[in-house]
Amino acid sequence: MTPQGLQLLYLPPFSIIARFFVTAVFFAFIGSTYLTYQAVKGELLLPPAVHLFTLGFMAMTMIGALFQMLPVVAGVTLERPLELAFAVHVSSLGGVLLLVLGFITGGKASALTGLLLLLASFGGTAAYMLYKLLKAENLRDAPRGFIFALTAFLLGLLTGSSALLTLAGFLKLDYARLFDAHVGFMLWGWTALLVASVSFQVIEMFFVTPPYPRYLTRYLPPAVLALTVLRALIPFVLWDLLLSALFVAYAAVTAHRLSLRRRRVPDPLVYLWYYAVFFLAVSALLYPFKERLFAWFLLSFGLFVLSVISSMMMRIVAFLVWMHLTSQGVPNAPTMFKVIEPSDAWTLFSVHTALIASLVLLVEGFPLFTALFLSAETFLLCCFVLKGVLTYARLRRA
Amino acid sequence: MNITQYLTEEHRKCDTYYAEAEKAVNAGDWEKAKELFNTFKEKTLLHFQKEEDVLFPEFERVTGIVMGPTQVMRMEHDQARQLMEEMERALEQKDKDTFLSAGESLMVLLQQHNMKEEQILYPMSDQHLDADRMVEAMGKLGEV
Ligand SMILES: [Fe+2]
Ligand SMILES: [Fe+2]
Repeated sequence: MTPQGLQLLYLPPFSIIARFFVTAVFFAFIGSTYLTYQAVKGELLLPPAVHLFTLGFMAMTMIGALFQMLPVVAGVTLERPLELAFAVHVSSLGGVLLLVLGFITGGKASALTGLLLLLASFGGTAAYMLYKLLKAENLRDAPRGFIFALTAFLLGLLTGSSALLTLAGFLKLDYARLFDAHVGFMLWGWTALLVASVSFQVIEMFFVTPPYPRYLTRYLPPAVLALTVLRALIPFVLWDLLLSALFVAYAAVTAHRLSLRRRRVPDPLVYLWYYAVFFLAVSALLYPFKERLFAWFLLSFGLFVLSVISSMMMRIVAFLVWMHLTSQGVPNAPTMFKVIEPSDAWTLFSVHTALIASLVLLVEGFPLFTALFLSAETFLLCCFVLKGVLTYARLRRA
Repeated sequence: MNITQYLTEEHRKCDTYYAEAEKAVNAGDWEKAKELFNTFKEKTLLHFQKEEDVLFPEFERVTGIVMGPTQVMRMEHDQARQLMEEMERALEQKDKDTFLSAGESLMVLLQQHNMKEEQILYPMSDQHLDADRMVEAMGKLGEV
């Protein structure tokens, strides 16, 4: 009998996803505090700020979520998940801090140690997860998408490391090309593609919408990976235009699905998804002009990811707290809106909206308001995720 | 029609029944909400019964896996039943917050449950069981 079916038994321990999510939201808060500090000083040093968000917040969240999703969504088990999660979490935490410190101070030793830790932790897990997924049979389109996203992540790590080693003088390669390939792999191939693949599964589930069209769920992942590889090998503006068109199409289809949802109760977490696909489309449209508008491209991409992660994290944490408590037989385990209340979600949504409104001031040359709203939002996200985790810690059966 | 198609369609129908009940509760239309929720509950329980009384025993008999996925599925059905009782009490007391909170948990619970069934358990059943006979036996219990 296929042992794959038996993996249904396995609900990964809550401590795994909890540690990644808590660390991730703290990095988001540190990142926004750093941006506020830069706004006050009137300077902008991109590498540290960007990597606090992309590695500390985004990758930390996504790797943590994969620990949860692989068994449940793909029926794939990871061996000794607790030990693995512990090792990956601790070393990636140290890796992000050292790398960012290296970016800020220009310290080679710190940056390279951080890089090594990140390659071992994030790189190692991504390779292991990829190997497990490749061995699995009959994958549906969502987990099949993970395969392409994880491949892009590994390529992004490879090009990113090579770029850093070139910068540090250890390699003599074309830095500009490596950097450009790194951005393409990490933002489109990994982040946007993983979000899209997850959405193929969860949009239909959470909001009761019609399923995504099959041609999109089937062909978007390989097409995106192929384009990121092509643009790395043969730089040509056509690849960027095609990538841009694919993600604009994905964003439009997702907004349309959401508008057809059968659950009509006003839900701030749905509205966050609308923000997410809007900023995804904006960043896709800016991408072909990235030479001139790089910071604006990054900003819209960041708002896309912040919207989507906020929405998903609030729901997933609340659900898992209830699910784990009730599975342990805790009487009257709090249901989802008693773990993270609808008013919490509305507050977060309002601050997010204020953040978006503050972009008007940013265009006018006042970055401080945007940085402050961003800090407020990530602070709230920390509070709500912690609130869920502490509820679990308080009520769980030892 | 095979087992996967037959039962997956029932999942989608139950989702729609819930969405309608939720809308009525949110609008504060308690009479209508009770009626719609009863339909949802009845249909969901019927679907559980088809699985627990027809599909799972046959799956366990043919595959020899007794303490496996079917056990987890039964446990999740029990969790869903408890939530539906909590929601029924909330409807009696016109307690919108408790209803919507339990309802949200129920929806996510059922969605991840259905996903596992649709992805692994039903295809395995189609592979190993006599699908026509199963669908016919489940059909005899009523229509969701
Ligand atoms: Fe079931
Ligand atoms: Fe079912």
